[in-house]
Parts: sequence; C-alpha cells; structure tokens
Amino acid sequence: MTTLPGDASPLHDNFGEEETPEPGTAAGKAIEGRSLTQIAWSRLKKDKVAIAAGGVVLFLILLAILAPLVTGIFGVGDPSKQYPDLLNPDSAMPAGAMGGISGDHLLGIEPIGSRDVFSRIVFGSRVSLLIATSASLLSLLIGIVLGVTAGFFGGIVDMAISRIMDVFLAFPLLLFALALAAIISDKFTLLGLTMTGDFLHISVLIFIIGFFGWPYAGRIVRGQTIALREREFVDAARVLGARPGRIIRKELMPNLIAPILVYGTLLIPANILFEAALSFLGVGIRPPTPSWGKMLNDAINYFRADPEYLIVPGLAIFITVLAFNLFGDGLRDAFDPKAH
Amino acid sequence: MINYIVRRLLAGVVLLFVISLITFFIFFVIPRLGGQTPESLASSFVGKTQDPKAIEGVMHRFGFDQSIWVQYGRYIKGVFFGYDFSNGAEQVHCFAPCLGFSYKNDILVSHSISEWLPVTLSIALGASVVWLLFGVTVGVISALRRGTWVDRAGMLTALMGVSLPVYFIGPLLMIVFANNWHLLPDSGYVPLTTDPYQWFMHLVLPWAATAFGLAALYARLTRVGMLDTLNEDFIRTARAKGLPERTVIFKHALRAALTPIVTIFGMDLGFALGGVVLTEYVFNLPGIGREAVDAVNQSDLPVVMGVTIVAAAFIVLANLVVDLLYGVVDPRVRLS
Amino acid sequence: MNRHSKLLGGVALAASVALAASACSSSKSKSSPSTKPTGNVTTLPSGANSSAEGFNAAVNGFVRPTDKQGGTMTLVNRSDWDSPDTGNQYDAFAWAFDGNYARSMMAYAQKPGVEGTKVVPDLAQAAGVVSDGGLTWTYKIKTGVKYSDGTVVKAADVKYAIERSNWGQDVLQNGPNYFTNFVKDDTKYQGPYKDTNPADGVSGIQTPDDSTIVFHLKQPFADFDYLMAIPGSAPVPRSADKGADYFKSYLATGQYKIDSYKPGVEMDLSPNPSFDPSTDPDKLHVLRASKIVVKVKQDKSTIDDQLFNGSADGDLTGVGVQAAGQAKVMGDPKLKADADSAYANSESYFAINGTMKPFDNLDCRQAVEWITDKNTMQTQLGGPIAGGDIATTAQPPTVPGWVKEDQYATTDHKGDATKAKASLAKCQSAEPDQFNADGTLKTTYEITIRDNADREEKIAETLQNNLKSIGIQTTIDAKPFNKYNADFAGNRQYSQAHKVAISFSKWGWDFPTGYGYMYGIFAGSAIHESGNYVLSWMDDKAVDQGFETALAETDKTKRDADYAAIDHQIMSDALIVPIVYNKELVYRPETLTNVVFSQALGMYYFSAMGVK
Repeated sequence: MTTLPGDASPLHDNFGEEETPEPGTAAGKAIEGRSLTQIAWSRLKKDKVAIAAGGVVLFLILLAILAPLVTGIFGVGDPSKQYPDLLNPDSAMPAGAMGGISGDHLLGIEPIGSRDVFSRIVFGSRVSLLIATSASLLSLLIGIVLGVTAGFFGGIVDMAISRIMDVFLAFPLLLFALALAAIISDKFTLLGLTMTGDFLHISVLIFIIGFFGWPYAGRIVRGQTIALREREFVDAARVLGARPGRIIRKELMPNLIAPILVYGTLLIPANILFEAALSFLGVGIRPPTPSWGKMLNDAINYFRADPEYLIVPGLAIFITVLAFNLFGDGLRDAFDPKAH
Repeated sequence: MINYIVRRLLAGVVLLFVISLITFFIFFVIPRLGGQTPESLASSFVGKTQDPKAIEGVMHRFGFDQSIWVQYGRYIKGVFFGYDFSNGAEQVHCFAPCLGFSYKNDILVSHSISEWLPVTLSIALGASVVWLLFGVTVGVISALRRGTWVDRAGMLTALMGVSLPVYFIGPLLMIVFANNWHLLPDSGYVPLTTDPYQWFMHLVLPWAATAFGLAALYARLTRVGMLDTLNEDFIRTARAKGLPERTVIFKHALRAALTPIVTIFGMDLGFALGGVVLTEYVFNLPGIGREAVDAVNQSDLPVVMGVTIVAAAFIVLANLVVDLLYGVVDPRVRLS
Repeated sequence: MNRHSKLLGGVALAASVALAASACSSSKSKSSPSTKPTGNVTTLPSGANSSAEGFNAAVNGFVRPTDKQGGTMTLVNRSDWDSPDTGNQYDAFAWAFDGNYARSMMAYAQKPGVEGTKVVPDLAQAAGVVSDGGLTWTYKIKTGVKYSDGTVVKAADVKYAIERSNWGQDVLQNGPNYFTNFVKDDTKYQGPYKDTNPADGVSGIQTPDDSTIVFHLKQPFADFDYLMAIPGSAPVPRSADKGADYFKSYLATGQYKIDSYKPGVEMDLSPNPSFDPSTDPDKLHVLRASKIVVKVKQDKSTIDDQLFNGSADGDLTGVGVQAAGQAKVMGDPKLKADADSAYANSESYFAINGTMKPFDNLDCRQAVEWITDKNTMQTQLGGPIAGGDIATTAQPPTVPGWVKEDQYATTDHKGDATKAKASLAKCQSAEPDQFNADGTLKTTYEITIRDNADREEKIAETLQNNLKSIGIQTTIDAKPFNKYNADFAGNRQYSQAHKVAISFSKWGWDFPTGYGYMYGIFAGSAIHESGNYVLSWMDDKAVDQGFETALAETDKTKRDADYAAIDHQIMSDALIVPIVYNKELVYRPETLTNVVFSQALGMYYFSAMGVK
C-alpha cells in the first residue's frame, strides 16, 4: 500500500498540512505587477530538466492519441493480432532471443498470447493516461469543493469534513478498490444508464482511483484555504461586504490555482501507479484491451523465462511516471522557488 | 496528558466502528446490487455437488439467512462480548474480541491474523528502518552538499525511486539477485523463530523493494526540511554563538527538520503495518495484506473485516504515537 | 488447481508419448507449430509393475521402487486444502494424498498404466459382493485396523463417515454426495448434525456386526466400488466427530497421522504408531518417509525452482511445471530424465450456452465448432507435452470405452472459415432477427473464463479472434475461480443478463467411468440455477436418455459403449468445443522413491511415495 497515492504522493512535500500556512511569497504578491503564472512560466523556461520532462509528457500524450497511426507505420496496427508462428511450440515462449525482438516486432511478442508488445505498449498508454488524468481531475474536484468549504467556513463544517477525511485516510485503500472493482463486472446500470465493456471498466477505475484520492487533495486545499482566509485581502473583501461565494471565487481561487496545479501534475503519476497496481492485482481493464498494469500482471508469470516482457511495460510505466514527476517538480519550483 | 490519550483512543474506537460499518456495507450490500443473493453467496462456499442442503446449511451457519443488520449486530456483539457458534457437532465459544471465523476453513480470524501479522510486521518494520536510514542520510548529505553533483545524483536517484513501483522493482531484484546471481532466495517466508538467518535473507529483497520508493521520498523531504531550517534565525544564532558546525547541524537543524518526517513516518508505517499488499504479493509472503486480497476474492467476509479493522487500528495508533512523539522532537508543541 | 474443476485420474501413454516427445524436441528449431504432431491421441499402456527410469518412467513403471523408510519428505503446494477432513473435501490433490493418513474402503491400485484405474480393497477385505439383482452391495472390513488414538475401527464408523459426508452437507459442504443418489433411505435422514439421535441413520446402510456393512440401492449401480474409493468412506467414529472442526483432531487410520495443520501455511505428518502393517497385505500404506511436511500456498513461479534445487521433494499441486520450468526441463536431458508427461484425465473445453439466442440453434453452435483454431490454443496451453493432445470428443481418452472421433475435422485443427460461415449462414436464415444484414451477429456476447489461469485467458483471446473473423463479437470476462460457477458462468441469472454465450471449463472425473466423467457436466438433472457445472445449460433429451440407458446396463463393455454413444451425441449437438485432453509435464526430484503416476488420480500417487 505504500506505493500508492497518499504516501508516495507529493502531498508529503512542502504543501503538507502541517507546514501549509505559507502559500508562497509569490502567491501573496500575485496582485501586483506580473501575474503569478507569468512569473512561474518565466522561471519554468529556465529549468532545462523540467522542460525536457514536459517534452516527454507531451510526446507520450501525442503517442496515445495517435496510437493507431504510429503502430500502423510499423505494421502492427492491431494490438489484438496474434502471431502464433513466432512462439516456440514447446514452451509457448517467444522464439528467438530477447522476447522475440525483431525488425517486425520492435519490442518482441508476448509469451503465449503471441501479440506484438510494441503495439500493446503504445495502445496501453491510452488507458494509463486516460484513467490517471481523469481520476486526478475527479480527486481535485471533490477535494477543492470540500477542502475550500471546510477551510473557509471552519467550525462544525470543518469538523465534519475533516472527520470524513480521517475515515478515508484510515482505510486500507487497496482492499476497497479491489473489492469494488471485483464486484462491478461486465454490465452496470446506474440511474437508468447502462454501461458495458471498456467504457464501464475505465469509468469504474476512474471512479475508484479518483474518489478514494480526494481526501489527500482536500487536506491540501483546506490547509491553503485556512491560511488564505486570515490574510488581509480576504479580510478586506469581507469588510467590503462581499458574499462568501464571491470571496471564494474572486479572492481564494486565484491563489489556490498554483498549489492545485502542482499537486494535480504530481497526482497523475501517482494515479498511473495506482491503476497499474490494481491491474497488477488482477482487477481493471479486461482483455483484449491493452494496459501496462495488465501486462505486468501477466509478466509476473513468465519473467523468469522471458524477462523482456516484464522490463518493457515496467520501463514504460517508469519513464512516464518519472517524466510527470520531473515536470511537476519543476512546476512546483517555478511557483515556489523557496524549495530550491 | 493521560486525558488526551484516552480521548484520542476513544475517537479511534469510534473511527474503527465507522470503518467496520462501511466495510460490511461494501462487502455485503454492494454485491447485492450486482445481483448476488444469499443463496449464491452460500453456494460459493459449497463444493461442486451444490447439494441444496449444503447451501441451506451454509446460509444458516454463516447467518446469510438473516437480515444484514442482524448479521452486523452479531458481528459487533462478538467483538465486545464474544459469541457462540456451531461447528455442526457442538457449540464453540469465541471469546471477545471475537472477529468471527473464516467461511473458508472455519479457523478463528483472530488466530489467522495472529499468524499473518508477524510476517507483515517483519516486512514493515524492517523496511521502515531501511527507508528512514537511507532517506534521512541521503537527504542530509544532499542538503549539506547543496548544488554539487552529489546533491543532484542523490535527488535524481530519489526521483527515480519514487517512480519505480514495487511490482516492477521487485521482480527485477529477483531476476538479478536470486535467478542470475543466486545471492538471495527468490521469494517466500521463513519465520524468525525457525531460522533467524533465513528470515533475514528472505526479507532482504522485500525490504529493498518496499523501501526504495519511500527512501526516495524521505530523502527529498529531509533535504527540503534541512535547507529550510539552515536558513532560520536560530541556526544563525547557534553559529554565531560559536557552536561547532557538527552540533549545529545534528542537534539543531536536523532535529527541527525531522518534525515533518515524523508525521509522515507515522502515517507510512501505519499504512505499511496495515498490509504491504503489493510486496507480499510480489514476494509471496503470507502477511495480512496478501491474505486479505485472497479473502476479498473469495468473499471471506470475516477475514476481510478482521484485517481491515486491524489495519485501520494500526493507522490510528500510529497517528497517536506520532502526535505524542511531536512533543519529544519539538518541545514547542503542547498537546491539548 | 481449484476445487471446482477437479483433476482426478490420468492416463499414461507408453511408446507413442515417447514418440511425440522426441518429435517435439526435434521440431524445436522449426518455427511453424503446424509441424508438430497435433491431434495425435496416445494409447494406454497396460502397466507393468516394474522398475523404470528416464523420461515418462513413472508413467510406465515405478521409479526407484522400494519399501524402505527414508527421511523427511517435503512437498510443496500451490493451493491449500479445502479441508483435510476426508469427509469434507473435493480437491484432487487431497484425494491423491489422503492415503497417507486415511484408509477408505477401496483404493486405486498402486500400479502404472491402465491397471492404475482399477480399484482394490483397502479397509475392505474385498470388493463389494453384489446380490439382489445388483441392488445390494456387501463389504467386510479388515479386523484389527486402529485409529491413531488406539481405538479399533468398526463397520459402524464407516457407516457414520458416509452418512456425515453425504447426508451432513449442511455442515460438511465440500465433498461429493453420490451416496444420496443411489442408496435407499426410507427415513428421510437429515444427517448427523440436524438429527443428533445416534440411533437414527440411513435405512439403506446396515451394519449387522462390527465388520460387515451392507448397502441397499434404489437402482443398480455398477460403479459402486468406485464410490467406496472416494475418501469420504474412510472411517470416522461418531464420538470423535466435531463437525466442521473435525479436521483439527482428525483420527488417522493410514501409515501417518496429522501432527499439525496450519491453514495457509503447512501440514506436518509423522508415522502413526497405531498403524499395523499386517492389516495391509497389499502394501497400500508403506512408511517410506520418517516425516512429511507439506508447505501450502507456495508461489507457483518458484515451485519449480524449489524442485530443481532440492529444497522440495515433490509438487503436490499436481498440475506440472510452469512455462519457465518447461523450457528448462525440455532443454536439459538430465532434467528431462526425471520428468513425466501424462494425461491428467481432464479436458479443457469451451461450453456453448445453448439457451442463449441464437446459439439455441444447432447451426450457430456448429459455426463455433468449425471456426475454433485448436492448433494455436494447444501451443498456448503448453504444447503436446505440457498442454495436451488436441481434443475432439466430450470425454478424455482415458475413460474406459472412449472412441476416437472428430465430427468437426479441419486441416491441422486450425479451423475452417468456409464451413463456419456456411453454418452461420444457415443459422441466419433460421434466426434472421439476430443478425445484421452483412451476416454478423447483432449482439456482443460474453466469454467467461476463470481468473486464476493466465493461459486460459490467452486461448479465450484466440477464440475471440476466431469468432470475430466470422462476425461474432465477444468480450472476455475473467471471474474469480472460486465463484465462477456460483455467481458467474454457472449462474443462470448472471449468464442471461450478461449474454454469456461461451464459458471455459476444465473438468476431471471423480472416478474413471463415463458416468464419473460426464454426468456432472452434461446431464439435464445436474443443471442448477446457480453453482451449475452444465455450462451448455441445455437439457439435452437425447443425452439424458443416453444416461438412463447406460445406468440400466449391467454389462460393463456394453455400458462403456453406451457412454461412448453419449459422447457422440454431445458432439453432434455441439454442446462444447473440446480444446485439449490435458497433459501435465511433472518433475520428480531424484530424492523421491517409489514414484508412480496414477492414471486414476491424474497425478503421482502421493501416498505411495517416499524419500531417500
């Protein structure tokens, strides 16, 4: 459980609740002169590592969108196509060295299933990125609404929301995710809408990962809100008779954008890992739709005979997560140079 | 102080209560929405004969024939007062705190957990030592050598560590250290009491795989914390007083920088004790996490409930200990 | 292995397996799997009781035969017992292991080859004596047999054991209950747990004295001796029974006793001091180890290495080596000499849901038969050595009376798109509502598989591709194996709601006869609303009629022919698509002694085994 969002996620970094009451000097000055975003952008441009990582992220996103095109160029357009003739008939392991790597199959073929690994990796990026990004958005959405509510109104509202967060935080997250994912099978009707197939499974994963992730986002937003609530410009707005809704929208939100943006960027890689963990434990996307976690789940059975099949999806996850982390790191430094 | 602890413990009990209720709900009510009936639940605990008598017997013995609230009530009653159940031939009393018995093999859940817990404890405690030691050391060095290649290398490794999930690094370590070099055993668990040396050897890879990502995180945190405190006034004052640099760094700066570390460490350790599921799965270690996943897959609800409550209790306790430790690490904190 | 697809029994193959093996290893360099000897089915050796060595030696004879006692035997197991209580278990490995600590009335002969599918007396003095036109079976039990606590075994204990395991399923829910189908009972006995009066019991089972037990049947049942070989007939004294908890204090009658059993961890056995070898003239219970340690829930990927590096003496899972191990064994002559490849007495197949439109139409089902590429699936399942021979019948070839036949023969078993499309077109003209104008099916159907076997998922993907090529769209749904029949593939409500058209299954016999293999998966009366194993869901009247005819037949040869006719009917009606007759590549470390592969149990005879 320790590699899941929450513990391995960036919330431990300097947005952590305990040290929150410091929204960053830059944030405070946002009102005057150049906007915070402009300042951050000029800083980010100077961070070569972050820019490079951002480039990788962009490349991955393009790859996911253009998956059919890219694999088509390499002649392996259909990720479900089997090449049984390339298996060693004695063991059903890929014939040839390195998991059957060849000119036609750049990353080899999968053991037993005999499908092209390259094409499955490229198509698999779609699932990973789609689920991780959507789940992050969901977490942030719930986290912002409840975090701001708790932080801004305080008192009994804060108490209630904080206790709910405590309950969520004390849950053995993975077990619940497993249980939920296992229960919802091939068809699920909610409010008259019947979902099936990949759409259902992807929605379920997004819901599980996103929903269970909100308290982490919520805590950060709440902490930031509490800190901002006591600042002069909020007091000023209040004295001038602004309604809470307006204060939240006009005064708080602009100052919350930076931490939320940074946290969101760093949440995506954590969610990629979470999705892969669920697939690794056997719940998630159903075959034949490719997914990196599912490939790793498969590879666990064969890695002693065919390590290449473990390494390829493992590296895909590693590179993607690393790129997102480096970029998110750079983004944070840009918004909050104190960390450096 | 005592007052505070008692209050926190009571709050913890309430939290566990809520968690048990939600667990019960998720595992009993949601499957019903998916079309599960008490009969079909019972039939999954019956052999392939599917004798109607067997299904009915299971429903009665496990209590599926009663309403969900009665079932939950019986469970809670068992936790506080114990309860009697029948093994067919005679009544058996399960003493409080009774977590029930497994639907799968009629073993008391408390007994099973007591067998799995040492495994999880071994992994979690061992790994926590590793990640704390490595993380803090690397973090301190990085902070002191700020901007040098040592700092960059340390931080790059840290970032890579965060990006390497245990289900990838674990098998990789197995390939290298067990399959190719035969330095360490591949997987499995040997109890400490059976053979301490083998216990240690079997846990080296799980510790490493579990600790890698967290060590990375702690290194980053320590570094940031150190850099922050090194800029603070009291450090400047200490230096100005002419204290030796070593004293300044270790007695003053590190101590202050450790405060946030302690918080997270409590959380992480609590989580780890609640089941290092992935590590246990990858290395085939019979800890509470792996067994709970199996129990989830087999609808063995009492085991799931038991593990969930124990895991949550660890998290609650860990948080309490952390808050108490605060007072020690940072004398400014007053518990109230 | 899982409790719902029991793999019991097996078959051995002599010359032709060796042939297939050498053909296979020589074809290793060839890239096309079509050159391998697909579709060959091997014939059964008669099984001489002699010492043997080399590849397949334990299939053809005994490896390192001895009656000497060795040291500690360490066995590893991927899964865990459903229960070590002989009256509450259905796991195949458990049945192959029980002989170590329990004596059932009859037992499978400790012989290789066909001889190993026959039953011989164990606790009974002789096979059942039939009278009253096949309606009465009388057994005498051996005198002087004792439990591990020293008390003497009585005929009443056998009666009680059978009553508790068959009629007491309200508490002991795991095991089979065949006796309730065949033994007469006028008292509507509720089992020992509901009816606690010791005077009550099944009226059709009588014990006139301490060594005689008589069974009165409702109808003649010629396989009755096989029922007595099910471990549930091992004696249990009423006074010691603790219901579901009896496994914790099991009274052993075999050569070992259970010292401790920790579920999920380990079982330890040591010699049973009360065991008297003089009560075992046929030497079914010889102490060949000083201690047995069974480690359960072992990581399947490391079991092979434990066998190769000597840290374990045997694999009790009985499903053979993994992919990596297979490559290793087949590539190393030294390792190969310590391995066997044998029929596991089971078959892997896809059942077609004959109640799902339009698969209620025979032509639609036959289209599936024609398009299935069994050749690729065989490779994916492990090839002819570790996967099995391509299957074309409903029963595996190890069932007595089996007849080789292929009603859907295609070139190299690769499927035939032309014939498949022709069948589908015929189906379309009968069921136009179900089809689009272009001849594809309107609905997307579901293929259910069990989630614990990666290879099954791969062959399901192959089938998915096959079906797609003729216009049948499917999704694959992997379900928890232990709830597969209760909640999913075998649950009518689920399979209707989710349009389950095809379900994977792997089935092994409870005892080696046509009835023992087919009844539970094809008879109309075996269909249940949930927990169903008749995954074709079809109450096929012709098949039901076949069972009636066969059960009434008293001549064994004619009865076997009746079962072969049922097999033919099942395939004509296209209820299932057979994939392979499962074979396992099993490795026996050189530390083991007296190793023989039991055709009946489908794995090594674990109670005959010892260590050096």
